[in-house]
Amino acid sequence: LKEYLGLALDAAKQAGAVYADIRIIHTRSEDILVRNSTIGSFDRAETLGFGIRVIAGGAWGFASSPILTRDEIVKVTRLAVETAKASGTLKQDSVRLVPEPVHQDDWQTPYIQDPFKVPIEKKLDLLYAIDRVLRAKKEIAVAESGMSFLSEHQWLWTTEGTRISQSLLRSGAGYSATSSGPDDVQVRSYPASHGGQQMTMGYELVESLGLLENAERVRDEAIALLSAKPCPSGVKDVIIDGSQLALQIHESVGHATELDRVLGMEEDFAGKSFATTEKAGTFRYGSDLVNIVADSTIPGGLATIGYDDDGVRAQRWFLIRNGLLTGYLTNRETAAVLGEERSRGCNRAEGYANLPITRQTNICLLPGNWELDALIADTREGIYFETNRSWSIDHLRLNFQFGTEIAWEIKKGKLAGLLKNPNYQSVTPEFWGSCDAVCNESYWKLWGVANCGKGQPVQLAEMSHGAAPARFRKITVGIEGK
Amino acid sequence: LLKNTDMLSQSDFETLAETVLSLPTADETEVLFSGGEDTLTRFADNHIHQNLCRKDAGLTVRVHVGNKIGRASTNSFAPEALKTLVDHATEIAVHQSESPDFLPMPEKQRYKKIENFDEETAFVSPSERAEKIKEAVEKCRERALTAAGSYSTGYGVRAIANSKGVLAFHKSSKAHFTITATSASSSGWAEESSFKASSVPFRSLTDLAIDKAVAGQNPIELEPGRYTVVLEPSAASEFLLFMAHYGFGALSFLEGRSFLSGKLGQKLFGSNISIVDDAYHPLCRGLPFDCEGMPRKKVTLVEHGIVTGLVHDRKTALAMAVESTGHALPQPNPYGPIPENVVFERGDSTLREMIASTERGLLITQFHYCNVENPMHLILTGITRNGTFLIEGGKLRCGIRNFRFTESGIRIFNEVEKISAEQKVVGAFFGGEFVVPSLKVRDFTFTSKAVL
Repeated sequence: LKEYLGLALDAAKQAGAVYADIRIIHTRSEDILVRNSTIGSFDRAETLGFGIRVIAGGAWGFASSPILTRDEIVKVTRLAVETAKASGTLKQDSVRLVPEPVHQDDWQTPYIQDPFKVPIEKKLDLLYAIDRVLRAKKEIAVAESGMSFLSEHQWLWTTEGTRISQSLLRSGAGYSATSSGPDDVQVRSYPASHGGQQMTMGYELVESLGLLENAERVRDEAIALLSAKPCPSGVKDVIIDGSQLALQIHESVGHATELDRVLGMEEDFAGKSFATTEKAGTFRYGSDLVNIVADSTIPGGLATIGYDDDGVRAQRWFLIRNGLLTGYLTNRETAAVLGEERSRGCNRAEGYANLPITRQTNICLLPGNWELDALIADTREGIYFETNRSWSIDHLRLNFQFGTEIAWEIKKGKLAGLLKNPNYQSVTPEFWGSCDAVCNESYWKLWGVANCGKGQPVQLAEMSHGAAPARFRKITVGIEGK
Repeated sequence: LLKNTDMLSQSDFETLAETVLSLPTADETEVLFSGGEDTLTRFADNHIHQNLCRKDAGLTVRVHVGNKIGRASTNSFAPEALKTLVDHATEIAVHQSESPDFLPMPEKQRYKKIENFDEETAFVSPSERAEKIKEAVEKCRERALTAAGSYSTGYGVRAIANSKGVLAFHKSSKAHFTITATSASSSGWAEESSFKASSVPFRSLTDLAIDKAVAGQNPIELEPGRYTVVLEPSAASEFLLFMAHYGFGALSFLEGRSFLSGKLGQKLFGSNISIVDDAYHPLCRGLPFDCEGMPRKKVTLVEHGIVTGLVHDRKTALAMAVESTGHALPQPNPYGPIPENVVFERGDSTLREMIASTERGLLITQFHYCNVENPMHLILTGITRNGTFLIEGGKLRCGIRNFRFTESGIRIFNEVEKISAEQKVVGAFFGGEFVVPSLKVRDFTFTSKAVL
């Protein structure tokens, strides 16, 4: 591959590029889904291709192809340069990249058990065993249990001399039970919704999740929800579990602090952000208890990497410290616009075919001091929300509304009855400002988000969010539209 | 077999398919090809900031070994890679238990022709894209507005063949332009797509975005509640999109998790509502076949408010003793058949008439980030964006701050007062394109307001 990598950089320089990088990426994936006691899908896929990014005429151009030949590499590189020069005819300022040391490194996510070497029968045996438990009661209309594995090997070379070989291994597993009654459908998932738990680990993740052990409880909760009370409407104190809080962090902190959004680059599509740069260091994003870090180095995180697609070394930094907005997610271009000395290393692309863009890394709410039982006991009247079901947030990342699979009423400091179709609505700084308790590290967990869509053409990226259950005061709940 | 960047021709695909189908490992084999090239130039803050060209090609092979199914994919077309691909699919199949709802692959089918390929649109150069954008940005600058958006072009090839005689090939092109014009206190948006770049009205779209941004400056704040609304096609499409995804596919119906379950033949919507899925509609020409190689049929989903049909793949068709409508995704899959070319039938009104007939209401350009809160009642939430206006006395009075809605799609399709004759093509988030008119709707529920 070295021949191809070098060829692209030479061709880019010859065509007039002042900077170029090439990523050759090889992926292998396996996705298995058992659905209602049969194979819902079982896919093995393998891809190989390259993407070339150049600066020419003061602007960016990118081109990609799955055909790895000398002729194609030269042709695609020239196309990238032609594209950059066209961009340069409508530019504001010439693109400037903040410096990054040249890296020459081999890096990989650690794992114990290669999931691609685990026999198919072993995987299917587990999924069918879960399926049998979930489908043991007639109220369950659909049972789905699945696993997914992705191995990605990246080679990144730049005209600055960076030479990185990086291997990422991501594993995931989970299941859901959908119950059906008269005019009602309810769902419960485990360990989380939207495909379950995912981490940069091997098959040892699947074996650590307690999948079979929780199946009966999850099934019975799905059935119990059919006869549960609807979530009441009003203003309540709420406790939100870690898995739902993960998505709350993702939508109202992660996307809001992507500097490309803040600078308006996503204006026409996903929107901008209220967290504008003049607010850095002074804007009260949340209460003093809200400490949120971005961390590309944390073991097991779906966005845990050695280097991003700019070739910037992985880092850990505060986005929100003691409630104040203190940082952003940057790449080498946006860091320069912000006047920072170094990128935070958040430029990542989906596969070889896509242009690297600013993506969330692992973003985590740091744990507090509370025991969960004590927190519930300290809440006189309220609602405990668990497991995301729906999400919506405005184009500035302010007004949001989330629904969860399940909730429990809290009465006189105790969990009371189940509530169905629970949802809550608030505005980002008000919401985080109302946080008055966060549970301690024994409740803290990384939750994987494997399907974050962003950019045009839309790309998917993976990241994790760490959270423990936390309490928020006076939140609007039970929003009805009927 | 795929050695350069030229577009895959039908004869290239036939050679490719022959190579795979001749590998003697399975009882039945299917080859599904998807590839193409797409370019996209993005602009924001009045300059181009992203510009790209992606080529891609993928091959998926499905094999049947007895009653067992295996599937594998690759983007390498070398003979040894194709052999490995079939071996992988076969290995998956032999390790599975027999499928209780196994269906043999279909035999040779006949397809209607859909013409939606334009050579010029397939290969628009980066400088041609930049020129269109420069003109749009200049227009915005002249009005002291900031422009953001994108212009994308390209082509796609889909093809399928199987060892029982199915052979289908289709190529299409697409051009799409979207623009947001913003002032300090407002924004306006417009978009359009066509298989011909020459049919995209760049200038009028830019003018529309500018007009909305200018008219919406210094918005006033209203309280949430129920309002009469005039939903432009993009806004109206959100309800249709989730309705199609959650209701009109036969699998969710059969499993009792659709808001339509048990309601086939019943009147669920207003008498003025008729909805079809039609891949042959002149505004949203789709694919003439599905991922099993079955011919795509036009399906009447709702007629004068009565739920009359669902889309099917072969499996759901068998379960309901009907014929496949040609809406299969790659088999097997957990989603079931999905309608991709939904057409909300036109009415006889105009956007102008809808506004003129409204004593007090809101004009909604677009909803942002909609999602389903309750699938059985089709309750969605989302927020207005890029042009929300107060209508008073039959005229647009001023822009208003954005609102979040929480509302049932079933309820509002019973409250439609007027439907426009003009329809627009709207991109469907879950795939495909929808054809949607503007709607005037009574008593639409907004549940909270935006801060900015």
